[in-house]
Amino acid sequence: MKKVFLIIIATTFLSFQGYAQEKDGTEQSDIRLKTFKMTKSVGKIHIDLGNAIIEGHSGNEIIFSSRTKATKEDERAKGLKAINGLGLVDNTGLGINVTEVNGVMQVSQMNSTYPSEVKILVPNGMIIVFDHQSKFGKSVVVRNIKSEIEISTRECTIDLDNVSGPAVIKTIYGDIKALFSQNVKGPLSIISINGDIDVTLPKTVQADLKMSTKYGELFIAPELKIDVQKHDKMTSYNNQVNAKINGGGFSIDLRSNAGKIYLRTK
Amino acid sequence: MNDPIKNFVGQHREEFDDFEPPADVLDKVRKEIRLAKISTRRNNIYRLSKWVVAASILITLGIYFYVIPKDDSVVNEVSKNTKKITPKSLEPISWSPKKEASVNPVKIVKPAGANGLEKSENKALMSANVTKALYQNEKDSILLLLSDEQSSSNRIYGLVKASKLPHIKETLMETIVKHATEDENSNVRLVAIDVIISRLDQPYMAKILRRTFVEQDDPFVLTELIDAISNMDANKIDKGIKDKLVALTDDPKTMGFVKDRAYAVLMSTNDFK
Repeated sequence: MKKVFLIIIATTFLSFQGYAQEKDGTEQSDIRLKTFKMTKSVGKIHIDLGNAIIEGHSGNEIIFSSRTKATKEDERAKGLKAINGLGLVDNTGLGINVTEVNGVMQVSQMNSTYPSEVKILVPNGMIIVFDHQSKFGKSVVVRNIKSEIEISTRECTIDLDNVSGPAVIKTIYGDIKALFSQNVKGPLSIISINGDIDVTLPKTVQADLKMSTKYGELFIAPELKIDVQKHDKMTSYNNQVNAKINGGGFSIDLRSNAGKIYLRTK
Repeated sequence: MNDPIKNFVGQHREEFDDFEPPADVLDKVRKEIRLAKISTRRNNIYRLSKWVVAASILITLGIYFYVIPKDDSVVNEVSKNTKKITPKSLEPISWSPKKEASVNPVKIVKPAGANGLEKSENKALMSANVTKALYQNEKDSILLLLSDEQSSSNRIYGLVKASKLPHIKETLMETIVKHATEDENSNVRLVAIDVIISRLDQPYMAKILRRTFVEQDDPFVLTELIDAISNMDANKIDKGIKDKLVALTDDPKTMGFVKDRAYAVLMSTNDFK
């Protein structure tokens, strides 16, 4: 009886696993990669997307790409164009609108509720402004950027990887993780009102640091050579550190209301 | 111990010596020794000359810093700093760095005795002119950075520079207040607020803080301002501030963390005690 029971369980398990693999395979083959390119290598790009990966590259084109599931495409929308409340239409085939306004590339999404992930390769040297205030925002990842970045968002988590700065970053509810490259440039101003801030800097960085959180905690790498300045009367009300790192230099401003702030070295 | 090869070589040593050294070998060896001596001498001279060059640079620098007057050195430092602020995004603005370079105290200051003034008066005038030129120089570069609408990091840089000035005059402070209340970027507003809060010991700054608070609409900046207000003497919290605090608590759109702070300050005022 025991043997029969074991055989039934094993058969059920194997058949379920086979079904799962088959489903994965189908899904993989269903995913379609769409791209849209335009020639532009200088100036500013203004991005308003809820789920984006932005990467620097050495070419002279801005390359947009998106992976979408064929099964999720709306058959009834074939031959029609998506339009949003601003009157912008999908002119890329990726569910986004790309328009040049006064020399600035404006990138906007069509579907405000369920933004699909869009990857944008931006030529080195272009100034990047990411501004997404929708409550349906998900995340923004910024990698290998050697120019100025400005991010302002309500919900998105922000992940900066190998960026040089200057960087002016703000989110209300998201966490911020930032790994700066060896040749980091200031000023760096990073604010998350309700999320945590985790910043990694090169050991040799020279900066004037200001870290403050109202209800969170501050953590700093012990190997950082910092000279903490004493609080004056007006700034003693919150959990705030003013310090010079390696003798001082450009300005680093890390602030949160309810989140923790971590400062590490690499 | 009993190595057969060693024994064999020992026994037949003479048979191995069948080649005679060439006649000029001794001359070659002598020549090489001479060359080696010369190169060692050259190395020593080279090492010594490096030290001499380093010492002469140090002495020259020492004399330079000792002889040059202090005021000039400060001006030079400032003009060096202002030269650095030439980001690409500022290029379209019609401002030429040559103008900045023309703010040279050497040209402004007249030679001693030229206008009949005593030496001490001249010195005072000189230092006043230098301070004025320095301030004007810094103010120009700060205003230029603050006017860069394309780059929020340049505006932050300008405000950080302003925060390092020993004194901020009214016109520059007005621009800073404008950035604290109207700048489209919250991070820039916060740095502007920092500059205002750091000058609260000056008499007219309480009014400026009040105005900045009453006109403020950014939630995170509001919290910073409410915190600063909560540190003020309760008697200095006037009707305008209280009205704004009440309006914040009444507004359903106000974010929770702003409301909490507004309530806390209102409760601490005399009206609610």
